[in-house]
Amino acid sequence: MFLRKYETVVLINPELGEEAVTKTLTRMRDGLTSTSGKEIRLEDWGVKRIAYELNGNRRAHYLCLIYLGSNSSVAEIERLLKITEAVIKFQTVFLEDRVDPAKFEFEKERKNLSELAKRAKAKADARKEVSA
Amino acid sequence: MSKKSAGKKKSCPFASDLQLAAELDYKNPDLLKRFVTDRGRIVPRRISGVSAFYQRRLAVQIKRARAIGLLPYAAKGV
Repeated sequence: MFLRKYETVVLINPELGEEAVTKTLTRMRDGLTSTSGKEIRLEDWGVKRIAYELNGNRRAHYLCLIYLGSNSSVAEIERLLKITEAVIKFQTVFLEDRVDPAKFEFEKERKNLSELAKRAKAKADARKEVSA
Repeated sequence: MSKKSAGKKKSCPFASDLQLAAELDYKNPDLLKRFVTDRGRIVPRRISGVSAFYQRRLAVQIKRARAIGLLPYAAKGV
């Protein structure tokens, strides 16, 4: 069975705290497993300023989930995001067609972070060092 | 005086640097910012010198970045 590679970026209301983030994340992962999709990696970009106002929010907690799945995985994940109140906005991008999950190099892809994720990680590490 | 400037022909920053072309992505707003005006509009390729091939890809990535709030749509008058 061939799968497709997608990534979904989610904007979560930062005022609702960490709980909202974990809740959204578990819902997305539930949606993925229930449609026999496979998670590749999760990028946490942290709280960022939005370039324009969205439903009264000027900041959002960004998450980016990269996964292998089918069109039904995307439909299910987006359905769950729509009924999650903390979610401000989301966007799914189709990356690659006809991926063979048996041959897919999960380990290699897991380390292939985007610029935003690298920067968020560096920021979090710096904060940790200050507090330590 | 000639109408057209006799300046050096601009070369496409992506075609001449494949490393940069690989970084062309909506998740890289700092790179995309170089190709939008301070009001948020996409710079025409006659100004930026980007090749038609990369301008098409660039426009898609800028629009994706706008949709998730990494770049502004259009800034209102100044």
